Amino acid sequence: MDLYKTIDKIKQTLTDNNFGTIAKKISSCVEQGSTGSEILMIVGHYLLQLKEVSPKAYSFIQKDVEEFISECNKIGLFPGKK
Amino acid sequence: MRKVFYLLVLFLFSNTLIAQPAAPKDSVLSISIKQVSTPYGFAIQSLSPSAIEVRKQVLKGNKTLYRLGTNGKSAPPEKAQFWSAEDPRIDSADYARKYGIPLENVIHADYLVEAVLNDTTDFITREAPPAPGQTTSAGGIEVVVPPGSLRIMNTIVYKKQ
Repeated sequence: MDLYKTIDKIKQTLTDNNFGTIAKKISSCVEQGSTGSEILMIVGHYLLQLKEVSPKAYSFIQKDVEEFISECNKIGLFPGKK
Repeated sequence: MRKVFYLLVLFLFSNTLIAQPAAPKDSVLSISIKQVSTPYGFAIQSLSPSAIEVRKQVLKGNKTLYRLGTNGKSAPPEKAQFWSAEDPRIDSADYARKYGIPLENVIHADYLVEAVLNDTTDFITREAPPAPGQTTSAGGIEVVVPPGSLRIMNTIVYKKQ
């Protein structure tokens, strides 16, 4: 699965629903990473935080976020888990 | 159903980590349950032959690890936990593909850090995820380390190839 496609889809949904600032923050998360796993972990962690920080924004993307996290888990990455 | 499966896997991993007696440092048993925690969550050891091979090289203590960084964006090298086993200067585009990152992250990088592990007790090796536009990993092996476990050898201005 192309997880960057999922990230783009999430960003587009947020932008379409007037959450462009959050979409930009996701782009910033992608720019921070030096390896693919680092990027997925940073993005996944941020997306999960939205559940508490911006429940309305999260409601638009919940399904895609859950799919994203599930795909991360399949490849041994567990964003948001301690 | 899938969620239940992953939760079960997670549960088994957690219990194994708690209940498992210490295994010999370099055994398959010990690497099969290894994980490294980061501020964003945790990542687990891959059991693929290439990941195991890189793990063996790192355990020998002289394997150079690499990390590209962008000023004002990337985690500082001394706190960074995600490293690559290959030198990005050899082929930038191929590096981006192999390490699952957008090419822009390589093109815009300001510096390259070279380091070796000081403490080989807790680290993992794993395939990088697929790059943008790809659905499978191109096989770059990442080394994920606890913070502060590396000795920085060089920090150099990164010139794109």
